[in-house]
Amino acid sequence: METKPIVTCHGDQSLFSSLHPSLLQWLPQEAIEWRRSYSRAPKTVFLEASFVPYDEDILPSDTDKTLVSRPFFHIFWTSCDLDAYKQTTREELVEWTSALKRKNIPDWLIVVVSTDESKLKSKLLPRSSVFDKIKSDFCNKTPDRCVVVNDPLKQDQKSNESWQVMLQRLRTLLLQAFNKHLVKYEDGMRNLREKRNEPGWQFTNFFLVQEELAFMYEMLGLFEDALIQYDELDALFTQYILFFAAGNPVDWMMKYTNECTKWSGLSLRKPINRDIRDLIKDNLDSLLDFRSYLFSRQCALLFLLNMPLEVPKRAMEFLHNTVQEVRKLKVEMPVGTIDCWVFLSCLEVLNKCEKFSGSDPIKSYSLYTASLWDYARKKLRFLGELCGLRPEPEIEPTSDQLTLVLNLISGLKSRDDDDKEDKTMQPPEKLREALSSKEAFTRTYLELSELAMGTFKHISRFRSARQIGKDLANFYILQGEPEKAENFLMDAMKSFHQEGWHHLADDMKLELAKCQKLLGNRLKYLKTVCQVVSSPTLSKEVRQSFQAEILEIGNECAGSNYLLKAAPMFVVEDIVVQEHSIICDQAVSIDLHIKCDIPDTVQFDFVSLSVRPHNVTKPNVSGKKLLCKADSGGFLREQVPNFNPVKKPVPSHIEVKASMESSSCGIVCVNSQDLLRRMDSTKNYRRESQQIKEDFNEALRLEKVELTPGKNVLSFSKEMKNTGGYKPGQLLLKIGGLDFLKTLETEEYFSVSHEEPVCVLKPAEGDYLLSGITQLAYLSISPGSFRLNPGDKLSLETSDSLTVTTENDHNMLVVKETEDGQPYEFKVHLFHERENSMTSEAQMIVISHSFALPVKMNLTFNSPFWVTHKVLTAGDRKYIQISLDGSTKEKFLLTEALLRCENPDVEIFPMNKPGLELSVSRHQTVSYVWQLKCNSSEVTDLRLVYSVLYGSRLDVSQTTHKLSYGFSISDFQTLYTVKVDVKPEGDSKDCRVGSGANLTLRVIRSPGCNLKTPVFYKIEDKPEVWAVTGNSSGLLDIAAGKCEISLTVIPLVPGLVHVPKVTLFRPSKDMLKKSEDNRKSGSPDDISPDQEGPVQQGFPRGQVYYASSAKQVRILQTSSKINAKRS
Amino acid sequence: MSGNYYFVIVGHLDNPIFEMEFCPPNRAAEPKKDDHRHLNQFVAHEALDLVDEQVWTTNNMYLKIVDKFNEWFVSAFVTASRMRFMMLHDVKNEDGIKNFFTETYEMYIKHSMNPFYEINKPIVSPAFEKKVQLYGRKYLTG
Repeated sequence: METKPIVTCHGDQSLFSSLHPSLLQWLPQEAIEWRRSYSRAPKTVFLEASFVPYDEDILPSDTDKTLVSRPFFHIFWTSCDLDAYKQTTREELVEWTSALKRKNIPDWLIVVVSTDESKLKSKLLPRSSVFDKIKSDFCNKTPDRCVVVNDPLKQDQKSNESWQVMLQRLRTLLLQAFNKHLVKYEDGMRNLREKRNEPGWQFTNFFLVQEELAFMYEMLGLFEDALIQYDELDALFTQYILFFAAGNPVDWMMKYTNECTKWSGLSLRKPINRDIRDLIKDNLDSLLDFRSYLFSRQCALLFLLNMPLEVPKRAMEFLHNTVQEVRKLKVEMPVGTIDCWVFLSCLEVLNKCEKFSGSDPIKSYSLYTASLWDYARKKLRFLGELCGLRPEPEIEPTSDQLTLVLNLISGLKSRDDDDKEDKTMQPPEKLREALSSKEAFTRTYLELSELAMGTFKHISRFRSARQIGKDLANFYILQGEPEKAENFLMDAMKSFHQEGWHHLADDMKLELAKCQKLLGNRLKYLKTVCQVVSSPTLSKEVRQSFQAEILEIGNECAGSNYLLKAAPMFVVEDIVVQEHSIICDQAVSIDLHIKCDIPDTVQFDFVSLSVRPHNVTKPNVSGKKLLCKADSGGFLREQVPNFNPVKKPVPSHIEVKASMESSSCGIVCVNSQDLLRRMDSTKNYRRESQQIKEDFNEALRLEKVELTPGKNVLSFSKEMKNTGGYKPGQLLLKIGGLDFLKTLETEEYFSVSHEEPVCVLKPAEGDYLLSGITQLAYLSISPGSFRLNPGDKLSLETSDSLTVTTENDHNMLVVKETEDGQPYEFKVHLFHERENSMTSEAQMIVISHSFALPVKMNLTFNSPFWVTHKVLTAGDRKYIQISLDGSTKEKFLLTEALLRCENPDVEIFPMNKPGLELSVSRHQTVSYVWQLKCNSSEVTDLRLVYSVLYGSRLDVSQTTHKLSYGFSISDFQTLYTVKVDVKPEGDSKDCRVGSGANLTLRVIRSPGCNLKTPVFYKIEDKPEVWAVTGNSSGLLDIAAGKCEISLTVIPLVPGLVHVPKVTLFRPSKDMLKKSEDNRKSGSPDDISPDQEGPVQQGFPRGQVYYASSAKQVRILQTSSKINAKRS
Repeated sequence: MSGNYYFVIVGHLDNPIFEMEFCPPNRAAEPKKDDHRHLNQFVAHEALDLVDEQVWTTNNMYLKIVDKFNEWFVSAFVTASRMRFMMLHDVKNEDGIKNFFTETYEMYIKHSMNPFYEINKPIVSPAFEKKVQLYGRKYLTG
């Protein structure tokens, strides 16, 4: 504020003008405390004043109520000497004081400037200086109103001191004067306010009075107090308007209800808008004028108070209130004008704030500027719509609208804007430009939107930012750029949905659908429309129309496959697998309970349910599933099908810088790329929502399915070809080109198994099946995966050796009813030919229509006994022994054992008791012995047949069976008998170890034997027992029928010792020839068969009878040893 | 002095759990614009940010007017358990709204003590609705 309290100066003008600069400089240097009345807190004030020459005419009268323009204080300056004083100055002073007295002004001061001269004089003549004179003449009662200054222009200490004293005095007196006037003024003002309900009271007058007080405070640098005055006025005015709106009109208010013709908005460029103030003074102001003026004053003071933050904070309140008041007072304003005013005011405040925002943290600003930006944006949009500047390219403003634009612009009072230092575009210009053309409007609107949104995001008001995004989206759609709109809408929709504002979310979905339709992205459009169709909040008509659209698209693009999620239109509520375990080729049936959130019935081309392999043996995870359920804390965690969840972006650092250099004005967000980046980028969106269609080759399928709104049950059924465990995988609903896919998460499963029928044959008694007897056995048939129905016939086939008879005496079995799960059991009689082996194999085949293949059974039969034969020899006599080893627990009774021989030359004599009945079992062996008597030695091969009748308790037929055992023996007749004898040499009776003994080998040919060839003998080499001297082997000539050789052997061990074993061999031809040669040449017989190689052949077992094979000789210890022992 | 009011209780998950509109009795007969209801929701939803912000600036539960949207004011009240009561209104009625909030809060407490009521789930009790309507008539439109 440029005005300062006025102080008049009188007296020596040249003196004053010399002191004036230093006075101006020094007066505000020191503060003075101001104690105020009405117990208001004391203030520290820095006083300033503007000094004007005294003129009697400007002296205010007592009744004068002015404050600012009033000369508060009067100073008389003089530096005259005593003579001059007496001559002229005194007169002047008298005149001056009397003039002041007349006006009843007590605030004055006489300053006497003394020079060194006068000082000297005053020393000589005390109480006779000019100062003293003046004091006594004028200041008898008020000595403080005269002050002396010593040489103020000199720099010495004394003059300085006096100068300071004078200043101090001046300050005190000034303050006194101010205080006095203020108190008086306030009293007057209060009185005026008291009268406010009296008729004829004018608010304008009161306003001017109180504003004057505010000016005064401002003048004194008390901005806070000044602001209080304005705030009080504001409150009072608001109150009046409320009264007015409540139906208590006051006369002075009527002018505010008049039509408003100016809407040029707030102006904050000057602290005091004189134009409007003059209007107010002249009572010609409108409501907007008044409000604007009041607010601009408040702002000015706030800036002076260094509280620029408060401005945008109050601005919002101010704008809203004013708009409300305009409405309440029913002020006639052409349409759109109030919006113009709001828009301009917003921009003005924002412009102003930017200038002051340099040092302040931007964040705190954004808190308040965000809503201002938003407000400006909204108003601009409204104006744009009003003026036909809508973004649709095809709509042009009508002539009416053009006129409106002109009208609006004309209302913007062009200011006396000559101050060109302000380069930024002024709000009115901006508005004018924005309304001038569509392009300009679009540009301005987008700029504002961006700024508002950025600021909102910056202060983490994401909902507000989204709201703007939504508006932007609408704008873009209208503008024909739906691709820009989609993300905004998506963002808004998701956030609404997540927070459970379903009405809003559905609104957004509708918008989104509209947008995506424009975009031509069919898949996205379909996804959104699916959401819309199943919306619970939208009206049925809307949903129906969208459903119809879906079906239409489906039919249109029958060739393509649009993969969509079935939810939320079709929700699978339950899956019921009727039978969890089925057999191959049987049909599995699965019931699907589907809830359809659709308004109309839908006809599907087909519905199919895929199955995927599932490991049935896997432990059930029901516990885990329950846990998941409990965890989901309410419906809000659910995702929107087909859409990603929205995350609040982390409020990151925002860097904003003001750009002032160009002609436009705005905030540039440096890292807007990061901040305004959409969280749901298209890439993510696609990836998340993509479903992979499973293999539907094996799927269960229903053709031409109709689903009605509400609950539906679909029953699927399909024959399963392959075994294994299966689980319902995905559900596919198909209409034309649309695939609605739902991946089922279910624990339901079924298994397809294939089990071959199993037949088991078990004997009724005992552990094994036995051959040779008719045995009762149980045939049990487990049908496995197949099913046998009562009455089904089973036929049995067997291998040759096996006969099976059923109870009905033929090989057919008839199935009877059994309990579930139990195998079928049949009694059968079995007979298998006995073979002479421990076990024998047979096969049985069960054939049934119910079985895919005949069931083969491999049966093992055990023979009840095991027959062996043996030829026994005693000299020339031969015996046949037949042994039967039992193998069963049960006893088998054997009767009528017979041995027959075909050869007439052989006689057989049984050695058994005739008619003997023997029994054989596992632990018993039965032997029969027959003697063979051959009447001819020619008999070499003999065929014998043994037969016996056997019977057993196990045999069902209770008959005896004949066992015949045929065998043949050969070379069984005895040819030679070999006798070996060992005798001590000499006279000794006993053989002794180490001393030689005589071994006699005698070979006797049987009488029936005609063989003349020599035989070869060999004494078994047992070097640890016998030492053989002489030939241990050699040829024996047996032509004489008998032959005997002696050899010396030495026993090596004492005790009973078997005689050395001698074996006979058939000599080979070479050997015979050699022996022949040897004999001729007279060389000794020492042919060793070992040396010659295996040339000799042994005799068959029965042909040589070793008579001494068990013979033993007693060998004694040598006598010397005995003697030694004895001694 | 009676205007239009729209009251909503917003749960912890930012979801609306109870909504009600109050019209002056003389205007109740007018057909409601469908769009209007959504607009209310939009405004209320947008103002949530501001409620969350202003909760920290005062010790009072009643936050008075937190936001303005064109001709609409948004008043808010935050309960001890941080349920947010929000009121959209086109006339200033500070005391009435405060009383309404306080009484409704009382009712809400009683309702939330019902063991069958789950916090943050929409309130469907007709008794609660009736009471709120009563308070609306008493303090707002009446």
